[in-house]
Amino acid sequence: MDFTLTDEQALLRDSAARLLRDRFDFGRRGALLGEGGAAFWPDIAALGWPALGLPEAVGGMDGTLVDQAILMQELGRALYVGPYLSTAVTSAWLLCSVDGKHAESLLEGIAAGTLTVTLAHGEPGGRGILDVPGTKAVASGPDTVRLTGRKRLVPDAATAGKVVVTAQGDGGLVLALIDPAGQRQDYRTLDKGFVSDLDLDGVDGTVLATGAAAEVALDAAICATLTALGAEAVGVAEGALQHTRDYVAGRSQFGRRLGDFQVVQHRLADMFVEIEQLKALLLHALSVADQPGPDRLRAAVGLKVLAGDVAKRVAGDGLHLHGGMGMTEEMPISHYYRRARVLEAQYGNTGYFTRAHARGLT
Amino acid sequence: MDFSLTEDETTFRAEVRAFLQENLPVDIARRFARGYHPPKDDLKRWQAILHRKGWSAPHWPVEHGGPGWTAMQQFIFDDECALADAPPPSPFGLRLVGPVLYTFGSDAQKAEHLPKILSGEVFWCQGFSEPGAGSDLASLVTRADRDGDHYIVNGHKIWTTEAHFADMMFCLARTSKSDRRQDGISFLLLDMSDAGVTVRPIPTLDSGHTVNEVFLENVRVPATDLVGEEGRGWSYAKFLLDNERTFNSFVHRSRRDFRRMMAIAGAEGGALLEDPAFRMAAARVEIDLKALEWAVLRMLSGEVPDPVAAASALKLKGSQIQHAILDLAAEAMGPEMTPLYPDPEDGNGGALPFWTPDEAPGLMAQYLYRRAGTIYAGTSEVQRSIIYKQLSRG
Ligand SMILES: Cc1cc2nc3c(=O)[nH]c(=O)nc-3n(C[C@H](O)[C@H](O)[C@H](O)COP(=O)(O)OP(=O)(O)OC[C@H]3O[C@@H](n4cnc5c(N)ncnc54)[C@H](O)[C@@H]3O)c2cc1C
Repeated sequence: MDFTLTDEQALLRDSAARLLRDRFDFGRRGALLGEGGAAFWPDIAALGWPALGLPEAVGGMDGTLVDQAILMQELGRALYVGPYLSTAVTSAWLLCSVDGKHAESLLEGIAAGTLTVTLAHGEPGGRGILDVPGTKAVASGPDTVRLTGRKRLVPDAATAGKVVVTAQGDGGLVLALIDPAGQRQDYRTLDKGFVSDLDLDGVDGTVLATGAAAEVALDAAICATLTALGAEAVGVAEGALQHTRDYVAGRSQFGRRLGDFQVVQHRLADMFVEIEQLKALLLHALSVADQPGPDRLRAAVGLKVLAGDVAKRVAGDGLHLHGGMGMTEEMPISHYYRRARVLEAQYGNTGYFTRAHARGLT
Repeated sequence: MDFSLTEDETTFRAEVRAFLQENLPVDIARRFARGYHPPKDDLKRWQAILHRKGWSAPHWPVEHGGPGWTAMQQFIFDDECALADAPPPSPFGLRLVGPVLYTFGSDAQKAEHLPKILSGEVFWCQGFSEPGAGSDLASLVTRADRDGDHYIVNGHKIWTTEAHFADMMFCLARTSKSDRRQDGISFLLLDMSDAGVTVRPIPTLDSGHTVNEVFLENVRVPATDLVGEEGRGWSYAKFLLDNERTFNSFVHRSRRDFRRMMAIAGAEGGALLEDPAFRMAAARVEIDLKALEWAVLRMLSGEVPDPVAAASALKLKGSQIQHAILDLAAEAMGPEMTPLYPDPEDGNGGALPFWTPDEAPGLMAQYLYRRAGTIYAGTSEVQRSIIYKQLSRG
C-alpha cells in the first residue's frame, strides 16, 4: 500500500484549492450561485476537471475516482454546489459502464466540457438512491421508450444538456436518455443547490441500456456518487473546523479568547477526531472503487453513513461555537452547516444507508 | 405525594380545550403549525382574543391582571395551547419585562405599561446583547448619559428578536463607570419610534427574519423611564432571567413537535413507523421528553432544592430534546427535507415544487432556526457554568 499522493495528484489538489480560493471565494459564492447553477461551470470546464475521471478514448485524462475525490474534497471545502458531481461523477461513471454510440458521444461532450448530464432517479416519496424506480418504460420504437412517471429532486436538471432516466421496462431496469425540456419545475435546496421535478408522462427517451447491463451501470454510478460525496464531506467538515478554529481564536469574552477555554478546545479536538475517522473510511471506499460487486457498494454505503453523520455533527458544533454569529447568512459556518445538513439527507439519509448496511451484516 | 390531577384540574383542561376549539382562528393555527416564525398580526390577534377572556398572562398575579391560576393550571393551559397549535404570545412583554415592572416599576410605569402588555397592544423587545457582550453580558458598553430630565442613549444592540415588531425596548445601558462591571448598569424603557433608533434585519440561515441589529444614536429616554434605581439594572436583569425557570425547557412545544414528527413518520403508508430502528429511536426520545415534562412539573411544584441549577438543567435538556425531535422529523422526511420550501402562506414566496409533501414546508425552517436553542437565553456552556457554580457551593 502507498497512501501518498502522486505528484500529479498533489498538483491537482493545490491548483484546485488555489483556483477555488481565487474564483469561488465565499464573498463571490452568493452572487455566482444567484445567477444559476452553472455559473461557475465555464471555469471548471476550462480547467478540464470534467475530463479528469474519463478514459482517453473519449478525450478524458484517464484518471480514477481517487483524482475525483481529491477534487471533491476541495469543492466541499469551497462550498461549491453545481453540476460537477451530477455530470462528472454520477453520469460519467454510469455512461462509462454503458456500451454504444450514444454513451460515447455523451462522454465526449462531458470530457470536452461542452455538455452536462444528470441522472433522474429519485421519485416523489422516495427514500434514497438504492430505491427501485416506479417510472414505467414501454417500447415505442427500435431503440426508444415512452415513459410514464415522475422524478423528484433531480440535481442540476435546470442546466443539464441531457438527462438519463431510470425506469422499469419489460426486461427490468431501463436507462433512457431524454432532453430536460418539457414538464419541469426547478427549485433550490437549503444549501443553495439546484434541483428539479420532472413530469415524464408521455415523454420519449432513447434507450441506453436495459436489464443486467443497466443494473451494472447504475451500480457504478451509485458507488461513485456516494464515495465522491464522502470526499466532499471531508472538505465540508475540514472547512467548518478551520473556520471555527479561526473564529474562536479571534473572539474574546470574559477577557479571554474563546479558544482559551478548555471546553472549547476539547470540542474542537473532538471535531478533528471525527474528521480523521471519515478520512480513513474514505480510503477504504476508494480502495475498492474500481472493483464492481457487493463489497464496493457496501463500502460506499458505509462511507455515506459516516460522511453524513460527521459532516452534520462537525458543522453543527462549529455553528454552536460561533454563538449568535453562527446563525447568520453572513458567516461561512452557517453555509457549511446547511451543506452538511443537505449532504446527510441527499440520495438517502443516515438511517436509510445504515439499514442498507445492516442488511449485509453477517 | 399525590400525583393525580384534581377534579378541578381535569375540568379546567376540558374548559381550556373547549375555549381553544371555539376561539383559536384556524388560519393562525395552520400558519403556526408549519414552523415558520408567526407574523406579528397573528400574535396580536391571538393575544387580543386571550385578553378578552382574561387569559393573556396566566403567570401574573391577580392584582396585575393574571387569572389567579395555580402552577398546575398554567402548565395545563400552556400544554393545551401548544397541542392546539396556538402561537405563544410574544414573551418579551408578558414573560420578561412585565414581571420586572410589577415588581420594581413605579406606579406610573405600572399604570402606563402593564395594561398594554396584557392586551398585546404594545410589543416589546429585549436589548441586552451587544456585539462585544454575548455570554459575557456584563461587558456591555451602551451608554446612557444623564441630560436634565432625560438620558441620552448611545450604543449598538444585536440579536434583538422581534425588534421589527416592537414599539418599546427594555434595555441595559451603562449610567456610570465602576470597578465591578455589573455595577453602573441601568434598566431603561426605550421608545422604538425615537428618531435615533435604527433597526436592521439580520438574515439568518433559516431564510426567515426574527433577529435584528438595533443602533441607538442619541436616543432620548425620559428619566421617568428608568426602572428602579439607577445603577442597579443588573439585579433587575438577573431577576428577569431567574423569573422564567421553565419557559426555556420548551416542553410544550416539544410535546407538540413530537406528535408532528410521528405524523411525518406515519405519512406515505407509515413504513417508517413500522420500522423497529426508527421506533426505538423515537421511543428513546419520548422517554426523555416524559422526564422533561415531570422535571417541569417538579419545578412548578416548588419542591426543587436548587431552582437556579434546576432551571439551567431544564434549558440544557430542553434544547437537546428539541434537537433530537427535529432530527427525527428530518430523518422521517427523508430526501424531501432538502428543498428550501417557500412558505405557502406567503404570497410572494414563490411556487412550491410539483410534489411537495404536506408536512414539508416549514419543517426545516424551524429546524434551522432552532439551532439557536443552545445559543440564546444563555448558551449551553453558560448554563453548565451556572450549574457548577451552584454545585461548588456545596
Ligand atoms: C436566535 C437568537 C435570538 C436572540 N434574541 C435575543 C434578544 O431578543 N435579546 C438579546 O438581548 N439577546 C438575544 N440573543 C443573544 C443571545 O443571548 C447571545 O447570542 C448569547 O448570549 C451568546 O452570545 P454570543 O452570541 O455573543 O456568543 P459568544 O458569547 O461569543 O459565545 C460563542 C461560543 O463560545 C462559548 N463560550 C463563551 N464563553 C465561554 C466560556 N467561558 N467557556 C466556554 N465556552 C464559552 C459559547 O457557549 C458559544 O458556544 C439571541 C440570540 C439568538 C441566536
